[in-house]
Amino acid sequence: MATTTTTSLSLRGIPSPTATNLSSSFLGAPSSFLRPSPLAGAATQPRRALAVRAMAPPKPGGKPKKVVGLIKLALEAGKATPAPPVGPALGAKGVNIMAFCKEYNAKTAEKAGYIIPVEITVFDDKSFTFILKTPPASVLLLKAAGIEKGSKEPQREKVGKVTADQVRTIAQEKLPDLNCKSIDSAMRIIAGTAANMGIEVDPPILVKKEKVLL
Amino acid sequence: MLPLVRPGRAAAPLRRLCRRILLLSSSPQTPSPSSSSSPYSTKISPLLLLLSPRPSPASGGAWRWRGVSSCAVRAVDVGGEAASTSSDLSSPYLSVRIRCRKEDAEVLSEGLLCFGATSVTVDDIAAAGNLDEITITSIYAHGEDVDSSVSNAASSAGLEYKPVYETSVGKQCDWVTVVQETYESTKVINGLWVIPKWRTPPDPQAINIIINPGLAFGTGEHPTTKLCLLLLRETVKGGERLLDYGTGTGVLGIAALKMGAALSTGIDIDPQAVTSACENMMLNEENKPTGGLELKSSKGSYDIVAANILLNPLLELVEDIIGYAKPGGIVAVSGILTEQVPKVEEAYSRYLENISVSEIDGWACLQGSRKA
Repeated sequence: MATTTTTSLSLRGIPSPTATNLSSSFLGAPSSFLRPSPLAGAATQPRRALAVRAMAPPKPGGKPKKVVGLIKLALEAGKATPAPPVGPALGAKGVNIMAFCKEYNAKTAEKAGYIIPVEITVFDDKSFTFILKTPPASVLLLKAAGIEKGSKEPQREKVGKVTADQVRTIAQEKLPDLNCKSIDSAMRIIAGTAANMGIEVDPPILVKKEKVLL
Repeated sequence: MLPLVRPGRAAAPLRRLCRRILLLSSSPQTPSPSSSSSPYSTKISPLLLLLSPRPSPASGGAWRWRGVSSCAVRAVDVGGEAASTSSDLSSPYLSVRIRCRKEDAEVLSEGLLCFGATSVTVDDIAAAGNLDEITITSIYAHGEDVDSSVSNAASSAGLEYKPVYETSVGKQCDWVTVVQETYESTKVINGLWVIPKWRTPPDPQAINIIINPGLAFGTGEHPTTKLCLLLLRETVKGGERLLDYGTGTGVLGIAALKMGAALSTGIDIDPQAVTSACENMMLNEENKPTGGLELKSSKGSYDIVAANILLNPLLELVEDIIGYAKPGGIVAVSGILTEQVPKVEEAYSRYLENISVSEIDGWACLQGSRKA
């Protein structure tokens, strides 16, 4: 049933918006450039089918697996169990829960005591892959500052302090997950998180913006 | 005697496995009076399954398995922490379905995890391909303030609207059955199969280990279970005594008997595993557990000790595990990744000689014989 809905939607929806998008983004292109596009869908033009580039490459030995769900869990290293949330979240997708727990626990064995978030991709044949993330920056900051909670009003009320070296260590650990390449920009991201939690960095890494009159 | 499992409880978390095994090895065996009403805040002990086969001439040369089995419930202090975690499974949870715009799903799900959700599932990726809206299913602990969590997450994600959501109370049966339906017969090697109890063995002549796969570990398809089964196939010649340390579904113990072992004992710290192992034993025509067995007195008497657990308990329990094997007996440890082998080898090389390692798909099983 879902398939029929999807098909009818795409038939109605896709051609005209695509055409308009193309014409707007290729302003100034010769008008002949656009001409093949209405032909692309026609069944009488088999060679045109090669122009479709947005498809996933076929896997060797059979049809490609479809992703049916993306599950994110925040679990304690080495302590995954079938209890909620693991059981219900993975069970709903038919994933072998015990196999996941065994694998997660084995792979996080050396990080005991930390929350290691995990992102699980489930495929239509119920197989799964997962990637481990680094512990949340907020958790690492709380540990470094030796406090339990961040501030309710981070601008006015400071609840803890971390050193620049601690920030550097955290930035190093989080670097693989952060959207940056250099340790300096990673440190600024961590310092920003600290500021939002009401944790001071000593000496400060972020310089307060000052109004400059031009 | 304490009840083994409270009705409605399905499985015990792996984390208790580690904790309780540790306690097993160090705790005194003296019972102490319980002060709490919950069976778990009192005392749980290792359960022993003792199986022995007897050939039956009537079954045309095939082995017929009778069990002289034992199931001992003894008191071991598991502490308050373990008691509280053991109630996780039967405790209700909230399942919240949240609708949001597709482009907001990523940032909103991060936000939900920050504000109290314990899991976030983005559904129907394929079906949502042409839709603007997408459903996120989120799980919360019972009693969590879902409304404020959703609005906090939405504002932290910078959404200018509050997503529509519906909440339902989740039940355990919902997901356990879904998972059970997925189990298939597994061929470990030619002539050795693990079969879920509702399926027909594809090869009736093979060694078929029948199990009811639930939430105990050991359903045959995991590489570590395969490694251990292959090891048993090589080492069990007939008449051995086997200890399955952390038995789970009991798959290794049952397999060893079917291969000709004289006795197999399974121990586990997880009551669910013991229930599961007892049931599976009967599925394989073993008798119901009766009587008692003193595990401590069996130290140093096993020809084979197999422990398919995890890195940390293997390291911490090295002396206990080795202690059950007799000198020259085979000790096999698994549940470890290939890159963890050096650590395990370091810990076990003090006690084992002729160490060898087998691997499947990044998982390893280390075996050796106990030094005299």
